[in-house]
Formats: sequence, structure tokens, C-alpha cells
Amino acid sequence: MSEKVKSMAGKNLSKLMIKGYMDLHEKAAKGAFCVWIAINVPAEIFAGFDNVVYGVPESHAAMCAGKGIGVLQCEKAENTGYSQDLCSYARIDIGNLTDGSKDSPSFGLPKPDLVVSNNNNCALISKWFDVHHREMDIPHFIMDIPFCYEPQKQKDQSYIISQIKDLISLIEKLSGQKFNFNKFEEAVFHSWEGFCEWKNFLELAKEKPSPVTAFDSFVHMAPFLTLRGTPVLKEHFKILADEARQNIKTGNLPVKKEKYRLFWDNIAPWHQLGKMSKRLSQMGANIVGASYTSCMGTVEGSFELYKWDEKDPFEYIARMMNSYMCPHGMELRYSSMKGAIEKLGIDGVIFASNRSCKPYSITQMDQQKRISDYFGIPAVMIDVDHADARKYSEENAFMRIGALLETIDSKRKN
Amino acid sequence: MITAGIDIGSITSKAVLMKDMKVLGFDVISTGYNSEKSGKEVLNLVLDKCFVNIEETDSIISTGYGRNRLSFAHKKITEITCHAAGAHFQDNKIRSVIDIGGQDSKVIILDENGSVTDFAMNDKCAAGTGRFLEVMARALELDLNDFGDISAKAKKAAHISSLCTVFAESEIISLISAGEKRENIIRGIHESIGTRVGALALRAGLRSPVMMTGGVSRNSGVVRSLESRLGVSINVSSYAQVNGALGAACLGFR
Ligand code: SF4
Repeated sequence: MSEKVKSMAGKNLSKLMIKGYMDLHEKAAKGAFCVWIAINVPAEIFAGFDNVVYGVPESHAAMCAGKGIGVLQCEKAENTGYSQDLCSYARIDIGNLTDGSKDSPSFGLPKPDLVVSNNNNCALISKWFDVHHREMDIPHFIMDIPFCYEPQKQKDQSYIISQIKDLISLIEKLSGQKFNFNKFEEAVFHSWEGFCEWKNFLELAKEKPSPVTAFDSFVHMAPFLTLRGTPVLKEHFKILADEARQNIKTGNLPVKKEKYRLFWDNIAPWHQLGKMSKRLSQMGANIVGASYTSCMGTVEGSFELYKWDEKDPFEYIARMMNSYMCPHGMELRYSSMKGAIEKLGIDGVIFASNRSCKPYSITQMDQQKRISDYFGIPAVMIDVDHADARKYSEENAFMRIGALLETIDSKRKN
Repeated sequence: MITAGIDIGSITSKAVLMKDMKVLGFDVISTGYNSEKSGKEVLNLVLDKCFVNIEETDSIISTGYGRNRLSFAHKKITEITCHAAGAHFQDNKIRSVIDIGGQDSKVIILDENGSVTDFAMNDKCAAGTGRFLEVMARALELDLNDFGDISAKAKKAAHISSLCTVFAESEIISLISAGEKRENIIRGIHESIGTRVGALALRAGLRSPVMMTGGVSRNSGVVRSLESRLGVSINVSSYAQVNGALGAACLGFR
């Protein structure tokens, strides 16, 4: 379905990712101050320093799973006593460190001087980063970000900004480098432009048939995590959007005979992307949108781009700390998904109940019911795990997806 | 018009032959490791039984976990849609199907046309399936076919708290050594399945009238437990084990 012959954007992505990891290792080896962060820690602040680099364990874990070594890494952590019930990203990351990253496609991440987590995606991540704090004897900065049941309140935003400023002071102290506001502001601007271009790309999924499939979008999200605050975001997503526009003209579409337009709720099943997209494509089904990809650059309760007035970069990045699904209560998640289903002309929804990411999965049973009742479209729940292939049964999942498509068919007939 | 429905399940393969929407015959064999072979075998058995040549069949529909393995099937349809069609064929007033098979349990809600409107299935776990009962029968050294009658004599249900098959088995062994009456233990086992599948039924939005299919529907103890838990009366399909194949054969007429 996706890139049998590698697309231009696909080639560019490989180039960017390889270069990104190489630069990271090289700079760290030459003495750059290295920070490991959770995905929604605002990485733009590191651009405000001359020589600070950052690595993202979650993104590295997703890459390991995508390259087929997720289970191997998980088992290493389990062999040292970590439970199989823990997040598979955490197990991959911890497992990877047991043997000096010997199986990692990127030779792991350079050793950090500081780890930074937050607690609004989930509580587990702070505990996970605490393992690094203890094992490597390095400081751990935990950002306390209020969970949201409604749009971010002013007092919450100020609270977040005060912590971002504390983090900057801590890095100044630990690294001996001075923070430069202008360079930071420029980085925030690059991220903002990246989000705008990303949205231009995702908007193309409205086309019928769609030139966009979530299987591509999942993979192309990677630069948002590892190259935040850089101009390559805008450039890359422009290549992606231009190529998708071109594909509409030439008919080079991910699912040529698109009969079913589906929406996906949860993290990508990294270990299944190739197989799942191929099998769905043979059934005429395209996952045209996903909450996981749609939430980038948006805020609570809507998948529309959050329009920054380009004034205060601190305010913007504090707001963007809510730009994910896990920190949102049920009403906000429902309202975002409702808008996307309407906009994209969705025929059915796949709720992927994630075995080891409960924060994402916790509201799904109620969401499934609400969405089906409101839109009168069928929705199924399948069991997956984002990075541990042992917790997924292909036939089980495809029986349910098959039944979803048959239900769409019978609704069309009646 | 003659159609055949073949359901390749994890344990058994079933085939139903129909002519002009009337059942000509059916058969059940064990699946073994080669789905294609057992699919052909069960089809040939039923064709022979009904004196029909394969050339006379107009449509062969496969369903079940092995549905994609049958190269000779004209169409492959999931067991969700087939079970709904099978129940609708037997009684078009049915609005819910509770199917408990060897490896999974499912609840399907259907509309007046026999089309699926919703369904819920057990997750990757043997709790609430035929396999759970088999393990318990082994622990009690009893024939599973006697479970229904024995449990009818129970004065109370022994409490089995674990949903996990392995843990429940050790709980049962402890109950035996504590001297608990076996009819009470069996009633407890049925209640445990009733709780699990009952929750699935409520999640799917159970609507009456309800039909129960799958091998486990022959166990009157499980049926009673589900009826009391859900407060509905349950029709046990006379084609319990072959309902999926029956539905597949019906869909061959569409
Ligand atoms: S939000 Fe989910 S995927 Fe992310 S760290 Fe927590 S459990 Fe893992």
C-alpha cells in the first residue's frame, strides 16, 4: 500500500533520520550536553543553547519495533525483571541499555547528562526515566503538566511556562551554557511552520480516493519528534504534501480501489505497518486518518491546526504540550474525533486497544459506542500493542476488521 | 440453486449444503493442521451424503479462522456476518446471537434483515470459551457432555474468582481438596463463563430475542447461567455447531 517503490518523501525521510542520528552521536561525542526527553517536552528550548542535543527514547523504541527488533529488546528488559505489562516503549528502551545498544539500528542514543519527562501523557514515563536517573546517576527533571478535561486554563499555562523556564535555568547551570532567546524563538517558528505544512498534507486525505494513508503518516511523523525546531520540518512536509498532490493527478494512490475509508484510534502498530497496510489494501480499505497523526499541532477538542499568533513562543510551546491524545479527557477526545470523521467522510472506525499503553486506550469502549451511535457507522475494537508483536494476533484482528467492512457493505445495501 | 457453506474453525470444520434456501445436509470433522484438506474433506462428505456433485453447486462460501485458506471457495466471509445470517435464517425475529466456540466467544447484534449492527468478542484469552470448559472437565475427570445435567443438581455455586483458565484450574483443584461438591463446582464454572460472556453481551447492547450457537450452547448449565444473569430467555439453535457454515451457505444465495 505505501512505498513499494520508495517515494521522494520516503527517500528524504530516510536521509533525514540517518543524518539526524549521526549528527546526534557526533555532537555528543564531541562534548555536547545531551538530554533525553519524553515526546511532548518542548525540544525547541535546546536550540536556544550553542551545544545541547537531545534524544527521544520513545521515538527510538518505535524505530526498533518498526525494524522488527521490538520483541528482542523487550525480552532483555523482562529478563532483568521488568513486567510484560509495562509500556513496550519502556521495555525496549530499558532492554536496549542492558547490552550497550548492540542491536539498535541507530546504535542507541548517546549517553545523557539529563533526562526530562512529563506526567500528562502518562505516569509511567516518569518512573521509566527514573530508572535512567538511578542507573546512570544523572538528574531527572519532571514536568508536572495538568491533565486536561477542558481547554488549557491561563493559570495552567503560566504554571507550565514557569517549569519551562526552570528547565532552561537548570540546563544553563548543568551545561555552563547561556540560553539565547532569539535562537529559541526561531526554533519555535520552525516547528510552527512544520505543523502548518503537516496539516496541509493531512488535509489531502479529504480527497476521494485519498492520496494519504495513515501508514505513511505514522512513519513521516518521526521528524516532529527528533528534529523539532528545525527548518527541515517545513521542507520535508512540503515534499510530502507536493508528492501527494502529484499522486492525485497521476492516480498513484495508496489504495487504488478505495472502497472503505477508515479512521484509526491509537498509536501506530509499528511492527505491523507493512503487513497490515498490504492486507487492508487488498480489501479495498484505506485508513485515511488517525487520531495519533491528526493531533500534531492541534489542541484540546479539535484536530484543526491551532493558529499561533506568532507572539509569545513560551505561550505557544506551553500550549503545544497538550497537543497529544493521552493528556485529554473523554469529551475532548470525542469532540476531536467527531470533527475528523465528519471532515474525512469516514465509513468505519478501528479502535486499537493497546495492551501496554492504557492511557491511550482507557476511554475507547465508550468512544466506540458514542461514535457508532452518533454517526451510525460501525466501529470495531482490535487488540494490538504499539511495539510488542507478541501481544498481537493478526487473524484475530483481521476477522474483526473483515466484519467491519462487511457491516459497512450491508449498511450500504440496506 | 445449490450452495455450500464451509466453516473452518480452530478445532472443527463444518459444511452445510443448501438447495433453494433449504438445508440438504451438514457434517462436522476435526480440522487438523491442513485447512484446505479438511475443507475439501468435509465438503465431499456432505456432498456424498446428499447425492450432489460438486459441479452442481453454484456457490461455495468459506468462513471461520481458516476461510482464507480454501482456494476453491468463491467468496470468503467472516464468521460474524455468517453467524448472523445463520441465526436469521432459522428465526428472522432473532436480534442477538451469543456464540461460544472452542477458542472464542462473541455476541452479535443483528437487524431485521439479518445484517450485523454491532458485535463484541472476547480478547486474546481462553476465559469464557469452550477451551475453558474442557480444561475444567479434565481437572474434574468428568465428561464435558455431563456438565449440564450434573450442575442442575447443585444447591449453590462454588465461588471461582479467577477468570484466567490456568488460575481457575488450580482454584478448582483446591475446591476439590477442600471437599466441595462437584455439582457446586460445575455450577461455579458455568457462572464464571456466564459472567464473562454476559459482560460481553451487555457491552454489545444485547437485544431480545436471543439465540445461542456454538458447541457450548449444548451445555444447559451455561445457558441457564446466561439466562439468569442477563434476564432473558435464550433459544438454543438446533444447528448450534454448524450455524456459521449454515449462514455462509445462506449468503451464497445473495
Ligand atoms: S503514553 Fe503510552 S506509549 Fe507513551 S509512555 Fe505512556 S504507556 Fe508508553
